Amino acid sequence: MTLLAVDNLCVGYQTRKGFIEAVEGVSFVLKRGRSLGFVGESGCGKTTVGMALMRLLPDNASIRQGSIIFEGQELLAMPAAQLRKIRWKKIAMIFQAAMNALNPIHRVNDQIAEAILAHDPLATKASAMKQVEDLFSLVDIPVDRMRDYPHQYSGGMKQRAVIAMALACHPALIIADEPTTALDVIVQDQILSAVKKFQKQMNISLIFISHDIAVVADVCDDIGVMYAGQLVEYGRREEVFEAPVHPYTKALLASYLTLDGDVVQPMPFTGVTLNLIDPPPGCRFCDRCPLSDAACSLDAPEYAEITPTHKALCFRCK
Amino acid sequence: MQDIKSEILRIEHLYKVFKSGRSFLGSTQKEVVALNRISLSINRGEIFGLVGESGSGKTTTGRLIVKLEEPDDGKMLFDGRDITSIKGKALKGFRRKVQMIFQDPYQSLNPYFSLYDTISEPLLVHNIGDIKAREDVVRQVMTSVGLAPADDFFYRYPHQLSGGQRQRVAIARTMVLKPEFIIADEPTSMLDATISIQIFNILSEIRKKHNATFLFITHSLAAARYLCDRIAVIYRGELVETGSAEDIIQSPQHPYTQALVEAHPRFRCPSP
Ligand SMILES: Nc1ncnc2c1ncn2[C@@H]1O[C@H](COP(=O)(O)OP(=O)(O)OP(=O)(O)O)[C@@H](O)[C@H]1O
Ligand SMILES: Nc1ncnc2c1ncn2[C@@H]1O[C@H](COP(=O)(O)OP(=O)(O)OP(=O)(O)O)[C@@H](O)[C@H]1O
Ligand SMILES: [Mg+2]
Ligand SMILES: [Mg+2]
Repeated sequence: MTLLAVDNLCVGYQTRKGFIEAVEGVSFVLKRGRSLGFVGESGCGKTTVGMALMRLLPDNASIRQGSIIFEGQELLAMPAAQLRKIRWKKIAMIFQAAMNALNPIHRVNDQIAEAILAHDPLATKASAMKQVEDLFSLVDIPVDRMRDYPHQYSGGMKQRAVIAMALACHPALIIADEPTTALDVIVQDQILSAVKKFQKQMNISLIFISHDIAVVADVCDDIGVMYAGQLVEYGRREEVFEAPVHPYTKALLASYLTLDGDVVQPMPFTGVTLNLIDPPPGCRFCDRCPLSDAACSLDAPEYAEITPTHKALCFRCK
Repeated sequence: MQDIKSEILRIEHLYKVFKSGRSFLGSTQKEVVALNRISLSINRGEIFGLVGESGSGKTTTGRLIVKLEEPDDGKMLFDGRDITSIKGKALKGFRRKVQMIFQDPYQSLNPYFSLYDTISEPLLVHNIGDIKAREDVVRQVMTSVGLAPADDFFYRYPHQLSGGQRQRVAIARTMVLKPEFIIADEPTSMLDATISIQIFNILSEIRKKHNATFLFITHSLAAARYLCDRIAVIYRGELVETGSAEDIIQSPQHPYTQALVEAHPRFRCPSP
């Protein structure tokens, strides 16, 4: 059953230097209980997509086009009062800056208990505290550190506390924006297993944003690869990782650092990231693309369907 | 001049305790030993990796070296001089030579400073160059970390940047002074693989050009392997092994290091 359908989403930001086309023509569908991972270069628009889904974009942002249908309702047409019933209770987000989302003047366990009490009318103070304890053991924070203030935590501990906070309200969709960046691989492993467990048990849908392909490969059923505001490749995990077609996806995979084998010689990226103010008409990757020819910079590419579930935005992968 | 193995930084038995869980009566106060008498020595021109799990004391080590935090015991020598308790002018001179790229660019960037002000500030503080010269340095450094076209970014504020862009601002800010010693605390944790490698290559380049020394803090053994000459593994405030990245990955001695190697994602990319 479809939980979320995003169609032709276009989001931009007004700045002193002009209008930044941060997200252009992004479309995808997420079924209940499934997980979708967005990967891509820094600044390619992953957070912007997440914030648009939460309807929490900053003032200088505008959604120029597109639709976001959640549980059959158009979020873009929804009045603020109705949105408030959905945000956090049905769609929760773990922000990229999450480490700093904790209030510095309250103890960490009190903050999470408060979030539970605010969203669950049946919870009591005692039951909320019990839940907090369970959540802390799930994300592996020692119980005797629960009563600390946020500044007493290491970066990783803060991030784990914030993950516990997002799980606290049992939403239907969690958007997790780089939730494990500050964590070492061992803790990351534990958290990802915890996320997967939760997701299956509670049938939560997940949008997982990361720059780390190994992380999304571990957690997500479907993968969207973004580049310069566009979804350049989209498909099942196996399709994208085992048979990638877009040259950027291939570069991303080839740059992945491993513990064995030769130290990679990554694809040399000569060109700079595309300027998103008045981007040129052609393919947004063509300056850096080893396969591009003159035609690539003339017109915008359209999606090539590789399989019914796998598509790519590239002239050369038909 | 690349002389063999001249020591630039030496740390002896560094010890740091934090008090946690403080209550008003002090009854539940607990001590966290963040660093338990660690010793290490870094050579000029070396890229030295400090690898360890979250909460193991990596950032604390960096903050002690740049003197944002006082050790409870132990000694630090920079270029043969005791810097454990330098103050005033000596400290200012030291700060010009030693810079830290902070772990969390959401916290370390001043929200009221435009990018240009943020990146040029160290030059102003240390009174380097005129306006024109400063602008050139800033533009050049921004371009090298991929904040390009630089002029488009000059008047943006941190909240108008993506996570990885903030991280590159933090890197650029430390580079303008051309420091001799750079502590890079997880400098690419928010960057995708292609840009991380670009940044690693920039760091290597700076090392080559200026014979700069790096303390590279990371939880990724693979990144350490790519970039570092030697690494030390830190576990719960203690250094558990030191050696070349390759040796440590091939035959990890400490159980924690073994677990770290074990947990590294076995992600295979398809052959092209
Ligand atoms: N408030 C804002 N004002 C102006 N530009 C913005 C604003 N927020 C983001 N941008 C720009 O929009 C683009 C997309 O940013 P976004 O934060 O969505 O990237 P991202 O994919 O999440 O990157 P990262 O992985 O580095 O976090 C970037 O070029 C960024 O500089
Ligand atoms: N100001 C402080 N007050 C109390 N405890 C602190 C303080 N700063 C750090 N600590 C504690 O010291 C220990 C080491 O923290 P540190 O930030 O050095 O870890 P780290 O290795 O950098 O971890 P991460 O990879 O998560 O950033 C942790 O247990 C942390 O909670
Ligand atoms: Mg982001
Ligand atoms: Mg740290």
